[in-house]
Amino acid sequence: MTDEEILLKYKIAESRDMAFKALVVKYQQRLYFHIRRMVIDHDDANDVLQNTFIKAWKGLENFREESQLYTWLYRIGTNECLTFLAQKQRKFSYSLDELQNHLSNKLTADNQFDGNQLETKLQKAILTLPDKQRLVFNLRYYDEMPYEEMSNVLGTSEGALKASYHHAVKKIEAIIKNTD
Amino acid sequence: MEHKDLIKQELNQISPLLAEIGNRNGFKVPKGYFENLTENVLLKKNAASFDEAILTFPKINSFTTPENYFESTEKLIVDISKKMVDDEPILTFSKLSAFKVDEVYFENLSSHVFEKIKNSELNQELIKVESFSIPENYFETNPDKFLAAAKASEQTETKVISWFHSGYFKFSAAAAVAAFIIGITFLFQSKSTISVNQELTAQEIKCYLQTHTEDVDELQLTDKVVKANVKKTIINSIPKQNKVEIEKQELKNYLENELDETDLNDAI
Repeated sequence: MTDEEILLKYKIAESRDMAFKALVVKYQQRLYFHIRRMVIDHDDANDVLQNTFIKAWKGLENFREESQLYTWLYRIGTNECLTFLAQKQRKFSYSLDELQNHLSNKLTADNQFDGNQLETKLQKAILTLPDKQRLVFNLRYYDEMPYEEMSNVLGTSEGALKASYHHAVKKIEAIIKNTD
Repeated sequence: MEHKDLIKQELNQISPLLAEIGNRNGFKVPKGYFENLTENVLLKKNAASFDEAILTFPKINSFTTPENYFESTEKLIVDISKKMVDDEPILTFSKLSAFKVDEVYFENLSSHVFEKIKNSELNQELIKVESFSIPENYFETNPDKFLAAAKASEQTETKVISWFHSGYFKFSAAAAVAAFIIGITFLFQSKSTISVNQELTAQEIKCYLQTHTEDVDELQLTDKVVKANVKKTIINSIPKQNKVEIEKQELKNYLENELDETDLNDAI
């Protein structure tokens, strides 16, 4: 089902549930992994993803079709991730470094990450970046999102995103080389 | 797909190492997770809607009480306390038997106790009232009083006193001059502080930014730097020669259109 069809069916009360199910089926995996890369733990990712879809349900009625549906969903998911991480940091009184260590330990302890040695090293290096730069890197590197769409998701200029991605790649490369 | 190739190309230029690692997803999900996700989200959504419905549900008391229940409560309490007092001597008879009491003591006890309770409650109420005494019908009459006072204040004309002719003018003028002098002194002194700050080295600033990453949003900072650089580039891209030409052209237009012969003669 195309985005237009989903939106059209959502506006009709009788087909609203069906349209929402179609929306979840279409975008769940992309959003899940986007969130999972940020929060690392599966249960946390599941909570954040469900909240993202619930917020989408509530906001879909007022969705302006100027932006693409999937960038809008990514935007909600991204905000939910940042809120979740900030809450976690506050709840456990973590400093930024402590939060990064916590996520890094989760990654090692998590038996649901089956990356090889180099991929694990890469993930750990990504976790050293500040949250927003991590988002930039993940959207470009893993989701292969064009800068224009990233700009819609993150509300930042394309120039800044390019610079941020460039710095992020360089930082990660340096970390990987230093831990060899 | 074209943009994906461009992204790979870009990555390859920045870091061949990262391009080589690739972006394979290493995260695993529990079996059947995505199959059940839609149902789980719908369940959670419905639960959230239900919670909202409860929160916004009108607070109607659905418990019913017998007719005239509250009216008859006083009588009910009296009956119960009477019964309790009547039962007590029987229950404690063996323990109390060694002491002598009046013959009619137990018969009148319940009424005595009830009277005492009633009096003590009355006393407590009196104490409360005495502590914070208020005039009779105070609260009942307040709204009317306040309304009348508000209306009266609206109608009363405000007396205007000329500030210039009052004694405060001289005092205020003196205070303003004093504040100006203090301000000037402070301004010159603060300049010396700036010169101290200028002694901060680039290394110190860099070190501060590195150790305070929580306070500085790198992405926002980059955004601002990029915008500033773009603006600077646009300004620099205008050839210096053009700037002069514009000024000459403007001058020529002004001379031709705005000034007539009389003005020129006057100027000469």
